[in-house]
Amino acid sequence: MRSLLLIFLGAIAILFAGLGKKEIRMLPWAIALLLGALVFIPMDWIANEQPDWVNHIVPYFMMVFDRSALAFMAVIIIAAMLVLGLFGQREITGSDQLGLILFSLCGALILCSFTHMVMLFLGIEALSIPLFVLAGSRKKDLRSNEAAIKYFLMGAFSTAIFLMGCAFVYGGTGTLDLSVMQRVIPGSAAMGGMTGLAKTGVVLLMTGLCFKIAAVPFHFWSPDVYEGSPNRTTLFMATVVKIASFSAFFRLFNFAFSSPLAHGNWSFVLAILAAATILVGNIGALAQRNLKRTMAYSSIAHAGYMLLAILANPLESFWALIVYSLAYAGSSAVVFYILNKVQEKKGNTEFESFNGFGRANRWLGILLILALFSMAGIPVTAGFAGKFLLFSAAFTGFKWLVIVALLGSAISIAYYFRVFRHAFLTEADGDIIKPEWQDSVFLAIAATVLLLIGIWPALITGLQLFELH
Amino acid sequence: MMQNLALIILSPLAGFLITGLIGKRLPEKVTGWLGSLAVLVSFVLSISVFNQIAANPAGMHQKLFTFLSVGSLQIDFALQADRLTALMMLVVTGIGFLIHVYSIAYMHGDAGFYKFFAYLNLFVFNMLVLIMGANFLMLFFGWEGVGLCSYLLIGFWYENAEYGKAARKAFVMNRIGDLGLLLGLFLIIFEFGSLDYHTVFEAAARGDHNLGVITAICILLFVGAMGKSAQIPLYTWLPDAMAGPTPVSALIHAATMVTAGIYLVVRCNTLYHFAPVAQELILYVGIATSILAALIGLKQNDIKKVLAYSTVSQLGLMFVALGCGAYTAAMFHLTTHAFFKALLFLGSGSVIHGMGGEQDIRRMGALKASMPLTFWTFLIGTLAIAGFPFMSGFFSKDEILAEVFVHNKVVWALAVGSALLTSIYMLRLFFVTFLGSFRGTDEQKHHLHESPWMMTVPLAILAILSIGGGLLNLPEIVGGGMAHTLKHWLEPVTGKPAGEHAISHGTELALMGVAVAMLLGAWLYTRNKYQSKGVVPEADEAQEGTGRLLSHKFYVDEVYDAAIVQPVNTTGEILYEQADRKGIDRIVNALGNLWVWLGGLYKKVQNGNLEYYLIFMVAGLILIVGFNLFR
Amino acid sequence: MPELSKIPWPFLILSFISILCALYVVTSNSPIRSVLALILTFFSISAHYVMLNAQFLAIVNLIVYAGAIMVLFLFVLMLLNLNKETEPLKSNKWLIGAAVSAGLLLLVFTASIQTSSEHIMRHPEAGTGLVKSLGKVLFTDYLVPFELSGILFLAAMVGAVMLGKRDAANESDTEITGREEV
Repeated sequence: MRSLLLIFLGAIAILFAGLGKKEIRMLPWAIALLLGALVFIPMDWIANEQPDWVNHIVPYFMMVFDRSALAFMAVIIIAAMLVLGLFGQREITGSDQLGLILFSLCGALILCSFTHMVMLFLGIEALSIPLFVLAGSRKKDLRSNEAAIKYFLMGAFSTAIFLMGCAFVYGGTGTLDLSVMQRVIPGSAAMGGMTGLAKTGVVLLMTGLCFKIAAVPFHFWSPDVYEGSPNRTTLFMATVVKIASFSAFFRLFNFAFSSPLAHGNWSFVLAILAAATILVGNIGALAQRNLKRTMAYSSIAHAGYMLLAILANPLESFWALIVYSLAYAGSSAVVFYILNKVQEKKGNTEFESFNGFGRANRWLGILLILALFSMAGIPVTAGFAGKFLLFSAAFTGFKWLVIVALLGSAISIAYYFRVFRHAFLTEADGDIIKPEWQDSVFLAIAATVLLLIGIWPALITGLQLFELH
Repeated sequence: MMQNLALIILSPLAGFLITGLIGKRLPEKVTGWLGSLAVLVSFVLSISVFNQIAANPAGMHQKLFTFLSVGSLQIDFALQADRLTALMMLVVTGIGFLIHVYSIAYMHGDAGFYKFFAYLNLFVFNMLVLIMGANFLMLFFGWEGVGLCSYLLIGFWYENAEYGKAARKAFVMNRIGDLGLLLGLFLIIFEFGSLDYHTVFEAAARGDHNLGVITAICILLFVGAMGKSAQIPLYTWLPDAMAGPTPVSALIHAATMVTAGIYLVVRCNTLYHFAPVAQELILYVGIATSILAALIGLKQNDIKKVLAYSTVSQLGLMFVALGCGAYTAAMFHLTTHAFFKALLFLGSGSVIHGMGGEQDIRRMGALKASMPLTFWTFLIGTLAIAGFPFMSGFFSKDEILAEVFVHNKVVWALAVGSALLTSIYMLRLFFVTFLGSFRGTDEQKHHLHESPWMMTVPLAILAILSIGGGLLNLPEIVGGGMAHTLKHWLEPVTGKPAGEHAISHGTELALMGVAVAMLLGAWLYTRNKYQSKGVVPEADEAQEGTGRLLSHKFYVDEVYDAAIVQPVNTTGEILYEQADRKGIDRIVNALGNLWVWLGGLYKKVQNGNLEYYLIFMVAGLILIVGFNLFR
Repeated sequence: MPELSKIPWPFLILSFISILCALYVVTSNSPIRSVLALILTFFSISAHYVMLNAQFLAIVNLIVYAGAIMVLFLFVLMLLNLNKETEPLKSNKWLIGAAVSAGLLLLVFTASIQTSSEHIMRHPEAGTGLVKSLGKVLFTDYLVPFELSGILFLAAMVGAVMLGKRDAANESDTEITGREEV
């Protein structure tokens, strides 16, 4: 709660501070804000030790800051910090942009902690509305405009579907409260299973969330929007938005719809979607000639892997999802930073622009390798730990899906390898890129996350989640 | 002394970091010796561990930290050393050290000198993790790590596009294998709830687990082994991997990494015990690979390619032993093979070095005079692999043949054929390269020189090992009281497999006799053909037939040639062209291209048109909702 | 499904009007007429709300959609001077595709309602849709979401201003792309 409030108030303060004529460097304050919010999380974590804490929710808050919420919040705040830290120096200038990012972050944090469909909906909207604007924030660039319009139109479409899902679920269960829903649905077994309304409602909600995480067949927006948006926004969408949507997904489907009756109903459809997402993401990425677009597809594929966590036994897959999210956020931040720098020099993100990059920039090159390895899931990086945990958690229930996922990650090596080949195995001389010291700090943080969790995932998985439900 | 285990793997890692990070600024010699020293330290420590294990058959175990724990699954970052590991450790670090020293001279003057040593050290580190890990996940770490290093080193001279392609092929094929391995690991978790060797094998040994699942696990693990140890159909990367520097071929693609598959199967012998189907599969894949590779080896003219196919063939032979449940025989051959194949590769490296980069044996010949030490050591290696009596290869190959003889007569006959082919192509290689007349350019002739001591000393040491390696596991008729040392050594790991029947001394002697007779025949034939008559192998494209050969004296010779040799040679040729290049290679490439093609297809769907997207989305929605509702 | 005769006739008439208008919205070639038809649609939907005893919703629907948004639409259309020529013609392919998918969607949704008609709450509490009870709920149980929608609007406002302003921020944008620099 404190983290959320802090960021919300901070965002408003930053907006007001931008009113004056004088340019004030707002970024350090924003990062300090996030740091403060991050510090609250361990404090809340410890405070949650008391078993009855969960029962002491103020009812009309419609949010609960249990440990599962806190874990996701921490990951999301770290991801947001990487975005601001790596791109804020020169690019997020106005206080309005910064404010919008922070508002969006508030939406993301709500998605971690809602207990009511209304909050879920508001969270999604608070997350997306600033993004529509941020996607189009490079006003003179046609592609940026195109991205904004596409994102907006399709986003509106998915919102409609999502709302319809809410209505259907309300019609089918008579409530919008997650905990009531969880109790009501198993009760319907006596009356011949879930009603058609509830069934369809659940699937519609799934569809709405699948749009946010860019799962097949609701992924069409993402390559175009990712490519057209400014790099910082793309990174924000790829990490913060995706992770937040997954936390919502996890909460909704492994809490409200977790009873065997409901699970049996949606899990098979979702498994098919996951398989399709993994295959389309990886195969689509193979055909690309542009790194940014490749990353868009790869992020579709990553969403597919992460869907395995929704399907698996939540007690096993929760930490897998957290580890995977962290790995994903860290590696994406590094790749997008490098991509952005290369785009500054060369004007585009075609693979050819990366020729000789690794040989010209030793440390950034090593970092790039680390990030690519993590994305590809090669040991000893965080990405491997995440994939391993995810796959082994899902293996019990969905063997065929794990085989598809393994196949997908084998395919993915090919296009990550392509980046590697251009950066290291070409003769050309790449441009020398000198990161500013602030950038270096955040790059180091990302690298530490990737390596430390890769070598010692027990650091995170060893944490005691007091009560998931 | 427990800390030793961690130190053994940390030493090459430190070497990697030092040579990789500051090696560029150090003089070549310092970098090279630092790298070698790192491996030497591991070797010395390994000896000390070896001694402790000798006294304590149970082995030692060292947990460093908990890698991850989720639910009931806990995986430690743990090392272990038992009898099997100790043997592998000595092979890896010992031969590794020799090859490091060799490389100092071989890589002299290369722009990426420091990088080469960094990679080599990293490789040794990963290989040690692979063999010393105390659970399957550690094995997998090492497995991926050695694959990575192998890839980096094959593509070391990346300026050459061909080399890059070879590196990529190695990577792709190994990925296919790794897929199997990973699936195997998930199945193990699923069935046993753990990845710890001790837990898994103990549970498996109780025998109350689902045999179908265990068979599936074994087959999947073997798929992993196929990729790493170059078995049909995942073997074509290994000959292509010869693009890397020669010491790499010696260390990674002959002595250590490619034997990881053998190690894996031996390690899991408890599981394979319950999966006879998987064992049969190994047997047949092994023998097929062995024959195929030996046939192809007959017709290769690149000195390293011959050795590469020979390696594939020998690995096949080891898998044959594993398929019979003869784990000791496989490990024995693994060890001796490491000696003589490393020797042969290093020898070929010395030749290539002396010839200024030439690899085609048709342009060599008569190197005996100018490179005496290389000549003699290469001869020893050739004799060892061909199975000259009382040299290491003689005993180890013989043991495999004896085991197969008991197990399956047909496979035995095929294995004998493979052994015969091995003798022929190795002797052919030897005669053409070192004897006869010099066929290179004048410049090469002028340049020709014996290699420096840092290259010849490792050769000499390996030659001694190749001669004496047989002492490890003498058969009873020769060794008497000293017999079966290795077998007794490995017993804590392999147990006493039911498959190993004793055969009578008489049969054994007869089998040895067959082997010696074959070798003699091969010797006479190749000597006659390549030395006395000075036949130079035809260029691949000028392959016609008997015409040229018919001008020679002995009618018998021609009949023999036409009836046996030509068909065999032609088979080798055809196999190389059809099975290797056109068949398996194409299939694997097509497999890769399929996905790229699908990607291109998909691009058409993602055409930037919003209406398209919306219609697809709605169609998807209808399908999902409908399916869910009416299911 | 209740018999046709049991359905109240105002419902039938209103539904007829709203569907007819909605169809006209999508088939009409003139944007202005589309908007006007849309306003009619909103009116008939508001009438539906009244029939459901949700007066507040009905009024809000009129004020916000029919009033504010549609007038805005009209302004924009007039300012842009959109007429028949500039309206890109969609081929029949699209029309058919859209019609088929919409029809199927309708089918699926109807089916899901059909299979569960027994379970739907038929008699909600009296007065749920009245301003009094709505206000009470909004400021007690739903206080936090209510305030939260405040953030939402603030964010939307800031975004709109940001997009609309002819600003100095563009200078920084040229730095980012590097395209305009050349």
